[in-house]
Amino acid sequence: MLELGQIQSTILREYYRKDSPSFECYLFLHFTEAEDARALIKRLLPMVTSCADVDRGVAHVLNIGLTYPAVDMFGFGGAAHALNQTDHEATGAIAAFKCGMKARAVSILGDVDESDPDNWEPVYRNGRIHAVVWVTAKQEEALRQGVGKAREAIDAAPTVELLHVQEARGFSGEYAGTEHFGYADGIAQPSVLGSGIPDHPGDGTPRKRRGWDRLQPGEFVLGQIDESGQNQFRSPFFVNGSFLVVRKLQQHVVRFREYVAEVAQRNGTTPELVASKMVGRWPSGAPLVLSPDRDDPALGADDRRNNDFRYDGDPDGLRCPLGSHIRRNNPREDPSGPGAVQTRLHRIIRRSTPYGPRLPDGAPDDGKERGVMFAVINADIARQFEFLQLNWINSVLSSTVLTLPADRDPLVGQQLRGRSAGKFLIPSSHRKKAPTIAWGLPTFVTTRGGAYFLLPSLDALWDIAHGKTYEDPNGCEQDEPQRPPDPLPEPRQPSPCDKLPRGEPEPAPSEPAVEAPAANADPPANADPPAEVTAPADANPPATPPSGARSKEGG
Amino acid sequence: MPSFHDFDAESEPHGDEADEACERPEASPFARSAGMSRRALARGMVGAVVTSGLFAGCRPCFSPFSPKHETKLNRGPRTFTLRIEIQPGRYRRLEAMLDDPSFNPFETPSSGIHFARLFTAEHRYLYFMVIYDDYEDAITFLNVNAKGVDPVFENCTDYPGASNPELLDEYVRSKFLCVELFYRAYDESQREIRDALALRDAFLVFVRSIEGVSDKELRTRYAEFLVNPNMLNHDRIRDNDVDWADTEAGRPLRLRPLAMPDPEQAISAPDRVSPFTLMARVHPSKLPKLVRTLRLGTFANIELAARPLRNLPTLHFARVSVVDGNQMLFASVYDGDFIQYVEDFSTRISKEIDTVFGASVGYPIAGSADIFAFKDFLRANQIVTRDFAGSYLDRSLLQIQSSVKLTKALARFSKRVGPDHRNLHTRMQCFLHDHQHLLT
Ligand code: HEM
Repeated sequence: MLELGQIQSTILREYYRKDSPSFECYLFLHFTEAEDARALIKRLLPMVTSCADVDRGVAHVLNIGLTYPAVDMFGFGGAAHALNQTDHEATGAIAAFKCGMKARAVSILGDVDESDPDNWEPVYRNGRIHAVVWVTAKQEEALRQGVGKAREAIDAAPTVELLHVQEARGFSGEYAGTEHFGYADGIAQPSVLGSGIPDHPGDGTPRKRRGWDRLQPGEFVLGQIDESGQNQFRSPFFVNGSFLVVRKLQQHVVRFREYVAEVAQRNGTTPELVASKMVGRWPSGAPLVLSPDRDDPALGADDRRNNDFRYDGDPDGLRCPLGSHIRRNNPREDPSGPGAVQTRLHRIIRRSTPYGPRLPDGAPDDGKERGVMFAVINADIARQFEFLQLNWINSVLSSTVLTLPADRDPLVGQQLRGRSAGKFLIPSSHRKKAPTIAWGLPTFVTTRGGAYFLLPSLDALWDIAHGKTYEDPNGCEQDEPQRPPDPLPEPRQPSPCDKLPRGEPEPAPSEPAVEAPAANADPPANADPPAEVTAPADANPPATPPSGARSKEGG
Repeated sequence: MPSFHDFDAESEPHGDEADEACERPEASPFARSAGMSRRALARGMVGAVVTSGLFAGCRPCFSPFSPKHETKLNRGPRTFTLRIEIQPGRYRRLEAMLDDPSFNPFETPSSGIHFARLFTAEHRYLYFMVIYDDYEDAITFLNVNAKGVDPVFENCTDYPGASNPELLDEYVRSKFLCVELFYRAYDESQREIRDALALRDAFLVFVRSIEGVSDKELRTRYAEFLVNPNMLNHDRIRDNDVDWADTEAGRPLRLRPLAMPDPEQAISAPDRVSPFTLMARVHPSKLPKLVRTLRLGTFANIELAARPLRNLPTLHFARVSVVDGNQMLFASVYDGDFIQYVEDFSTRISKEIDTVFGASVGYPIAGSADIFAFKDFLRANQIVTRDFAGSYLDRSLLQIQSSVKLTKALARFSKRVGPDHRNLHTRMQCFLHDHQHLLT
């Protein structure tokens, strides 16, 4: 069993389930002085929930993530430095974390065109984020309370700047548990050895014949044995922590609906079928492999059955196309794709919640922004999240048969334009019928920003709060907070950050402090309240910020 | 209906020359055993290898055998590696020159070249590797790029300049490094691949254009498509073999340096092709056995067209040489992301990989199945490929293979089903169904 009292709760606990909407709030912070930031963490520490807390029952969940500049500021950059020096697998994870998402966006994550970091929301683009305080609750009231307490603590730290507040909220009623394209989300999650929660068939790694193995905890919790049988992160600073990827992904719902309708019309089929082939599941969540011809809501709702499938009976993708979103992102033991041995190294835990109002079915474009706050938990950002994004979403899927040489993930891939424009092929099982090809695939999901965080263990947060550092992997603590060692030597291999086409080293200091997205008016036709709100007007105004920090309400 | 083989024979665009490269430097005594069966050949080969062992002054051909001329077993890409001593005191200057991103030694496109790379190692040597269809192609390639390669090679001893093909040829031969293992994932020449890729693109455009059209329209479009110059239409090829392939302007595939991204592939282009080069120390005692195995592998792959690495969908080419009797030089051309490539190694062909790398110092005890240790080993021994150029840097191996397959299938189909075939619509649907995986 893992040390659940040490592990921040989002890592292993899904706080909401399909039947209950979740209310979420991300508070992005900028630190100016380490001491002040430490004091803030000290104040927040009692509120931080661990997995054990969630098991005991809490009204809301609060987690803290730190970006590399913050880790460095607290004097723990050296721990990462030491890992870097071992020249081991962990270096990939550390390099990604150090570079940050923006530096890897173009070269690795495929954020170009609309998704280009230059078009990101300022808070993500400026690279000033030091920390995120992430509050989740099942009731709106509980969320308000949690956020209120967090903001009190933040306001009491004069040099800490609240950069941005991002809210997200799951849909309610008949749309509970779905995302904006209309599909049940959050069904498949890796099951983790020692996580202390029951798993569902299909969540783990497929065994040779039948049955599933749980994944080693080190894939998601640092300082534990991972799928390679090793423990990559021994420094006590990392143990029981994890890495968090936050990405704000905008969904172009009208574009998506119109496109699938058009493809369906040209090929004499239904839009639902085309879209479901792209996803790999029906809107209810029923997998195409188990129910190839029609949606089966009973199957979709049954947690014991809705993920219990393999691709070995469908090597040609006649049921679930080889290029569909779920088959690409978790090929399981796919006989025509990467096998189970490879797949188990690239699993991620997803925690995503929609933001923005749901567009009613058939409604015209209302011009509002909507999408998901997409959060990923993984122990090695480069090997897990980035690998998926780079290889399985935006590139060729390594596969043994002649499949998928050029096409990308139809749902979330960054499609090319022009000669090599993306397409999506739905194989035909009828001998006298050509396959359905969706030509000229547009990009349905674009990136609005994001960042990489470390979710330290509760112990590590305590150490930060009390100004401890420990350079020695054996855990000898030093009383004096230590500055990180000199700048790192040049890595032998040019790191992806280095070859960035456009690296903006430092943000312009004159950027507006708070980004104030227009508050969404609740559309009358829509049952769901708006999910994204600016820093709520009712929240306490900040204490007068000292020079250097900026006003939180400056919009 | 002709079999694949008949078909290849007819369509082979440049006949027998393909074999020339390996023979040119020195004809092997076994070369012309015309009627030898494959098995006899294999037996003889093993004997020859075993007796020859690690002979010094290895012939610049990767197999102890030169291929039989009469068969087409060994058509397709070939390779050589040059190891050239750099003049004293010039090493740093040369490295700086090669590292300069604005400097591209291979600016002029040249046909018959698949990939070429330049790198430096051991603080003393410049290496040049090229994968070509004909040995002449390689010489021509250097020759037409004299402006770019001369400044590089001039830092090396005795370099005669690339503008005189004869001297260049002699120089190149004197610098050969024996290639013990050569693996290639396809047997097609650069020209065939280039045409197949273009044909597949054109076919996709055609398929899109016939979606939901009337029968009459379908016939017109099909007839239009059939005149595509890249169709494997035998008569045409015989008529003007050289001409159409070389003069057609705007063909998509020409040599392009790695540093110049195609604007349409603006994304980090993970599906683009990359070079990987590695140099590792070898336990000398394990060397003779290693070399024997490597040569057998080459023989199987090149002469018998066996694809032991068929399972590896991201590896275009691989080569291994032994340097100074104590180091192994491994160079490959692969698709996409390094991590995925390494994992393919470890998860799909770990046995073969262990055979190749097992003799190296520092190789993980558990072999390549220990992915992380294996990755560390590769990273620790990797050397920087300073310049890399290729004919299809934006096309993955899967794309190449499916294009080639589709080209052949289309040629067969078009022979049986013409634009005025009675059941054109149905036949076309069936064809598309049968080959749907080549269309993704
Ligand atoms: C707006 C963007 C996205 C939408 C709307 C979306 C939607 C979905 C849906 C509907 C499912 C099926 C339900 C389930 O199994 O939970 C799914 C599964 C999944 N998605 Fe996404 N997704 C998005 C982005 C991403 C991204 C960026 C990644 C990876 C980096 C990703 C990775 C996965 C994985 C790993 C699964 C589970 C597959 C399985 O285990 O079978 N998704 N997604």
